[in-house]
Amino acid sequence: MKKLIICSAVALTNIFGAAAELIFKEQSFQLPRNVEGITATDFNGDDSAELIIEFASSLRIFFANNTQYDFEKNFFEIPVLSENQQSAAWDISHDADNNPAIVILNSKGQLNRWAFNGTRFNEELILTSEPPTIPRGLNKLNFVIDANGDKYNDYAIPQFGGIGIFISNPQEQFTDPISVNSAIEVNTLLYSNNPLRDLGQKIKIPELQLRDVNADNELDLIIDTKDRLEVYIFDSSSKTFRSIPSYFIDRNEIEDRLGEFDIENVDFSNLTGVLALTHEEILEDINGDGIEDLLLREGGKVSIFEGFSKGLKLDAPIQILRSGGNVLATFLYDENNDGYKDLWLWRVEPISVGDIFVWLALSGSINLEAFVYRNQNGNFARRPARKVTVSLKFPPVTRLASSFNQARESIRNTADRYTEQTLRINRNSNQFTDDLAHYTGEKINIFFNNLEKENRDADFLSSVGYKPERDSYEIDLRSVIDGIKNQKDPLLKNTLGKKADIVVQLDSFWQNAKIFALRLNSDSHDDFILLNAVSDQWIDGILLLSVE
Amino acid sequence: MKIKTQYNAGNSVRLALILALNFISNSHGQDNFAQFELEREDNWSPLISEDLNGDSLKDLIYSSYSDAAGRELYIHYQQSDGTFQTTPERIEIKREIIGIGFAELRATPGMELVLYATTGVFGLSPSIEGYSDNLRPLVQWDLVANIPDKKTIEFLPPLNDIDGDNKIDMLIPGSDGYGLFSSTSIDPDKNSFALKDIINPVNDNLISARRNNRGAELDGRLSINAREGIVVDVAVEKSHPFDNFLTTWPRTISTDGLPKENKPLLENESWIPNIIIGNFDNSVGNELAYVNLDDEARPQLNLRLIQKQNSIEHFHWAGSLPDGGDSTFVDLDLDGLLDMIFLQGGGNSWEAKLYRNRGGGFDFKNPDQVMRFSGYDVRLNVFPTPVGDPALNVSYYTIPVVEAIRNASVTRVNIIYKNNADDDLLLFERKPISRQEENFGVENIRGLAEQLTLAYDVDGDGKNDAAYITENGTLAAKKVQSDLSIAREPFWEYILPKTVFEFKVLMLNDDDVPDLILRHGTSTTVLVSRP
Repeated sequence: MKKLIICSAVALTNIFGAAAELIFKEQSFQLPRNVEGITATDFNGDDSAELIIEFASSLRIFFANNTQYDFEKNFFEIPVLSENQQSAAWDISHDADNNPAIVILNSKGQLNRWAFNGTRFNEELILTSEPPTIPRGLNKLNFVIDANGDKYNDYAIPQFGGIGIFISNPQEQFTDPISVNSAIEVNTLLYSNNPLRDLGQKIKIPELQLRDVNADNELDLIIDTKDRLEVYIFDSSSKTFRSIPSYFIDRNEIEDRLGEFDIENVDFSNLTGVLALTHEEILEDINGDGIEDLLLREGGKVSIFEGFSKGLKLDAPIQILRSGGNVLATFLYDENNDGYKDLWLWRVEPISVGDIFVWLALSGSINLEAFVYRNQNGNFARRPARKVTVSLKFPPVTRLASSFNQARESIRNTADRYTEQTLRINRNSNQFTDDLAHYTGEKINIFFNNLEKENRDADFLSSVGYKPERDSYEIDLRSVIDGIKNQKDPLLKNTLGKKADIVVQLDSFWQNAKIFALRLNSDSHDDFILLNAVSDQWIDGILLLSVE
Repeated sequence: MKIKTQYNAGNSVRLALILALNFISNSHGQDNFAQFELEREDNWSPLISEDLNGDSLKDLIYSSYSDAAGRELYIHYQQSDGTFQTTPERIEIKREIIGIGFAELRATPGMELVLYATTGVFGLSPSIEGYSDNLRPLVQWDLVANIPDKKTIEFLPPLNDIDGDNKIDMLIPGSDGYGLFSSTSIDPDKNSFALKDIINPVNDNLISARRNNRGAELDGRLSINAREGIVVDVAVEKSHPFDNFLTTWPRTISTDGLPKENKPLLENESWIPNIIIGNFDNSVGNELAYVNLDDEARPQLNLRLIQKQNSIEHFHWAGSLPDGGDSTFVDLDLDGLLDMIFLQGGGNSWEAKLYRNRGGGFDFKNPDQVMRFSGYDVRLNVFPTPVGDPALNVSYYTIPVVEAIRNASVTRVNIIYKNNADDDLLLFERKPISRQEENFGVENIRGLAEQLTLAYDVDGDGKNDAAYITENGTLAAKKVQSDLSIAREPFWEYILPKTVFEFKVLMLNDDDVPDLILRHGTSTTVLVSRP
């Protein structure tokens, strides 16, 4: 039986790169097709990563030995599921010595830690909660958190309709759990008369939002659901959160105030008039004291409530602004670089049913206008200082839809042919991942220092080429869709005409492989793992371990 | 929740009867409805009608949520005069319950509630208060879904006899296939169920395809936010079966090709191909139909006989479906067997392929008829003509450029194809026997709320009518004439102060006269026929 689920090492060969400084050792392996995932971490402090392989009902940890893995012998197995235990979740936390340890939450609410003592994993019970809400089977759950920023493990355990937060102190004693709401998405389908529609369930529990909202250098907890925006301010004296929110915004109450959407009363000559029923709640520092204030938009009315160290003064707004027209959205952005965030209020022109019918057959445009209200030491000016107009131009809607569908179909049909992948990788533990690996199916081309620093924050209004001195912009949807056909991998921008610094030639061409770059051994270079599409029984893989 | 109840007999509610030549002979009591208006927190959530107390009158059932009471089942019992109790009976929905269905599981008339939980199915009588001494386990089975929603509940259709032995059966989607359970007794009070078969529609090809699926999607996004301002983003999202397969801890080891830092606390899904229960061959009882993949990874339809006691019959037919389209099972030739409509296309270009069930199988390489349509939102429905032949009704929208510019309007096309009696090759005649076009602009846009349908017999005369929403937002019906053209004028119109956006014709009592559920923007009107 063990032979069936064990991974087998197939070959160990040297692959020499073109540059003398880096060599990659190639190790082929196979995993059973029912493996659910791989996690790499260093359990024994030897600077080489161990591989945790997640099977349907157990975890198997493979240890690195002399820069290679023995997928047949050198592993430790943790059985998790059994006949009486059909659901569980696991994650990685620290043990008492700050080493990684595996934590397993079972369906009864028992949280056990499996810590490695240098020779074996030992199990200990560290917490008992009410039975958690976890799907059937063995689940990788990201439930180990640091809720209070003290570097000790806290736990966020899904419970019916919400999350139980358990906060520990250095002695690993837990405070009473706090139950908070969560925007849990559960999509269930148990019956359909469509033969092509699958039945089952999808569940998603979002990550907890933790940030300092009151400038006391402690993380606070923000719960943002469809019904409520709740803030739990961390209590430094009790080292935990209060069991009830420090303040909350009841979105249902706001909606009751604005009135219910009733299609019966829709003005067909101004469909955008329904925007009067929309609302936004934005927590950000407006007056520059570091404490987040609340911007509440209800239709065209914007109210500002001041935040203070213990909460939010919700009884009376410090400012109210009213705008006519169809207010689409608001946000805060420092427009004049004075260090204060200004209010951008976006309006859209009235759109009628007649306009829509015409746009079905003819091209058209919609103007979006942003009115900028400057922030004057915590108060917004009564009148906008600037108006920025973005004209959204589009071809006939029917043609736009069919162009989009055609582009989508073409992309879907060619999906199988995508072999090439590019990765940012890190050589010599640089601060930035500025090297490029370009996988082509048969080789990996490595370009050193090829990439600019990754900028995940796009520039403000970059899609229209924003300049502070220009007020009028245009977006042409037709050219956006046309641009899809010529879309190229942006990471390959600087490789044109360049020779790769290292070429790692692979033994076989894999069309369906996925390549990962990660640090597996003790040198300072990234290594690679390639996983090929699943055959009847196996997942084929290759480890490429860097050798200096 | 607000409820308004009134009778519309006499002058209480305007029931406009449009004069038409054929009206008088067909009206027979349609002007007499008990009217019940129901306002719910979510007007568009499911509204079920079943007889729970055995008085042959269907009651209204839906789920409701409040912070204080959690999930509850609300039942408005129908009264003998056709109205409903204004105050609903409320039944707590325990947190373990994922779905609710219905079944006649007791000797006394009326439906019992069937509660679907993670590891089993239970029966609960709505006429007994509470769960203790009421809840009874029916079967143990690991349901395919095991996380209940905090606010909502899934409704399932009533349980029926699947295999033709006059006893109730259950087909429950599970984590490792469907469990087919059969009642062990015809005495409802002694009802218990035994596992008869496990049907797993997942085959090796489907497992491999799911694991090897390399999809690519085109996502369009128009958004306004503080980081990017206004952004129009059309991007190709490629997916790979090994996305998120490899992670590192601590996550900062990660460089690229690995998931980003922000990860949800939990993300999980579990799906199983649907099984349709229907009459696919000429044997007693129903068969099962499901779609998985053939050896070339194309969708494959499987038809499967239900194993009957003491039977050695074994029937399993499989055939590859055409790629890329929507399939619907419908009896095209009214021979009692389910046939298939396969609709392919996009935008304003659609092709319908009709496949006749050939005694328990289909020839998907050779459709029995291929029809092409130029329009949007193409719908095909088969309905019986007054003489009992099948006819095909096709409706769609067109957008003539001149009309769109001159009158800001779109055109709704409704055509009917007569049964092809001349030769056996085609199911319906090549050319439509009738065609109706209507223009809709700003002034009559309410009429676009729902397409005209020939699926219902509104006046209960045994002949299907053309029911539609008028430009004033009222519900009306026209006669389908003997030449299969639709009459110019309606024979019936029901006027309410609120616009009708959706309607359903059904039987809510036992008088054989159709009743109606009319959905408005924020409320629902239920019309029950009165003698």
